[in-house]
Amino acid sequence: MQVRSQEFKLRSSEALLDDSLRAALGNVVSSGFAAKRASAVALVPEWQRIRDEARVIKDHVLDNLDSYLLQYESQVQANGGQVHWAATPDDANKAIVNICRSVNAKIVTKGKSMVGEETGLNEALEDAGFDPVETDLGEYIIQLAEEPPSHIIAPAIHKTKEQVSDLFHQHHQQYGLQDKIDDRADLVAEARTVLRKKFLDADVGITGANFLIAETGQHVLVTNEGNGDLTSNLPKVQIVIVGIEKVLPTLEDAACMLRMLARSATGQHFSNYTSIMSGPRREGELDGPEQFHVVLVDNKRTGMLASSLHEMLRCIRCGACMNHCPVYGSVGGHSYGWVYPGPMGSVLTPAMQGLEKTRDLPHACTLNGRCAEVCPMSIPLPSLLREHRRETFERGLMDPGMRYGIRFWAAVAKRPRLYRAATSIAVKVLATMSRGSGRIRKLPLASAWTQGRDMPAPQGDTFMKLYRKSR
Amino acid sequence: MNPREQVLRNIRGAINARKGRAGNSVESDAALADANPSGADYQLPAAVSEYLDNRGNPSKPSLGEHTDMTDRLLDQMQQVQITVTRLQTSREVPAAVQEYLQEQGIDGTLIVSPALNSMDWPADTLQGVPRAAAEEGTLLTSVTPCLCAVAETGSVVTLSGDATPNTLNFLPDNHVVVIHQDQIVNHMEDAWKLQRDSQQVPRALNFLTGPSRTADIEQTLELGAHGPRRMHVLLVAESRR
Repeated sequence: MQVRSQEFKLRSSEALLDDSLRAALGNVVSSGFAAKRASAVALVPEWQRIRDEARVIKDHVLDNLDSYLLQYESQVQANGGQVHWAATPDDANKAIVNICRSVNAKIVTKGKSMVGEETGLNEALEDAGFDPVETDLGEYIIQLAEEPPSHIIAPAIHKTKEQVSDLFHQHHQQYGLQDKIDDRADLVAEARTVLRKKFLDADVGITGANFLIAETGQHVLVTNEGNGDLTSNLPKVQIVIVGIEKVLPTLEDAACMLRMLARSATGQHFSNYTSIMSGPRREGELDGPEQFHVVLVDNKRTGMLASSLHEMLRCIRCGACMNHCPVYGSVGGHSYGWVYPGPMGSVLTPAMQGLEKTRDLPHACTLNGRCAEVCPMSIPLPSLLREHRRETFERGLMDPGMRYGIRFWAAVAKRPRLYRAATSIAVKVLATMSRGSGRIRKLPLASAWTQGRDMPAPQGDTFMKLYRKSR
Repeated sequence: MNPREQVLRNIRGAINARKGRAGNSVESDAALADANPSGADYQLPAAVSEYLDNRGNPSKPSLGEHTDMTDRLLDQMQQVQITVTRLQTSREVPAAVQEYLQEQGIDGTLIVSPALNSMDWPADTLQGVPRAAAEEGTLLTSVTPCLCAVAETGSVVTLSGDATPNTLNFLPDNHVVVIHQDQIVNHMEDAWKLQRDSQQVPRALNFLTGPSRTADIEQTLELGAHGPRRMHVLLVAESRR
């Protein structure tokens, strides 16, 4: 998928004026996922202990990632499956297209996969002549709208019921839908009917995976709709596309992560369908796929593993950070311009797409720290964002005004006498500018700032002078 | 270099770089290459196995105020819209299924898991996999056994196998599961133990925690997204064997 993060400022300004987006995002941060998470976590007195253990497990895996991936590979083979490795998005898409070609596939059903979004899998499948159908309701809605997801666990969170109704009316006439549907339950039923046929007709089913279990060669897939299971179990060929950081040593480690995942994501104690799968149909079985493939994707993850961003690889994609982010809650997911939005996206997108095109993302943060507080994997997101900011400055990628501004300020701040003289002049000038009203309406060089608010005028002397007087 | 070699080399290089920065000894460049290109029969390095053997037991959430795991399970199930009928013996199962269907006003066809075919079912009951009937658009209610039920999460756990096709969990409109009292376990880890008791790694171990649901339209919960619209449990007091 094309990265559009360089348009962050423009798109977030537009998002702030979009009334239907405001309505759709209205309760994400205040009463939706965030509130539900808080009540679910409050019911587990052992939460912090389990959270600490989760971090230890993930760090241990990252220190021995090659060993666990090799063990997983070996076990998948023993269960009758095949493992494909992909260093780049292109490697992953090619491997999957080749599998689809080898079985003359037409319809390919898909469970929601963020890695699939990363690699642009749907476009690759379409270009190769296949018909990929997203089956997670939210992901299906945005596929009809030809939009990227705006949230990693609720991809169509920006859409209102009316917009979904319009999309179905526009696209489902081929299946016999005539009138617009108003009722939410009827919209869900309409999607169920249309997608049910796709599930049964599909030749290949592709899903992501939440965790890989090295010990047994199994993968864990979590959904609420059951679309992941229908995608995995019905077609002749099952494919799993997954990032290399998702591997865990044993099923016990998966239990630890599962205790964190649903509570952090939606505030559920446990997701509806937690499925632990491996390999094709066993001899004597009446259902299940004939072939089983896993595609292990790197796509810059090993680059992160070597860098100061390695802690980001603990991420289990729960979405808690964006549910608690005031910036995400205001501008929505699409402003971030790629696959991953919110705090985790502002760390991942520059790491995967380069800071040149994404330099605004690490600044789309007030450093309030709520994301790190709720992160089940204790990822220090604000520090990682600061790491990106530091690199942006060091590599000279900031816009010149900001760069020179910071240099100028640093030059003055390092000379105390000059600094004191400059501030005492500034205080007087600013006080005069307010004309006794206590407020400044317009400030030269800062019109963008004063457009939305007044600047309070200084009251009395500079801090240093007051400090000296009171001593 | 093929993608496999490249990814493995990158991982080892990255781990090395961090070890080096932390002042630890690093592997030689030759050790970054892969010694086992087929991937078969891989064994974890001794130091890693040793770490796994010696780490302490993981923390589990306490199960609240319940001292009886059956109460905890029923409590959790109620929260996720699973309905429950309690029975004394498994002979009562077919009649209890009929009663449930009448109560809910459910029409359509019954399909039972091969593992339950010795029970006394009505003549028009289907058996086996639901695919053909689903393709014809038949409204189905499935009846299946389970491996266990987990009090911690309120889940029914099924294991795929010759007599237990797992599409019965997902394709039908309604799913009825038979649980014996002695199949109730405390935590997820207890289900892993049961899986390890089976001879091979199963194709699918499914935790089912309520009827299918979605909140993808305006964050508002709707049941019956793609899987069963209703899930009903028959809890049998008599032991399984």
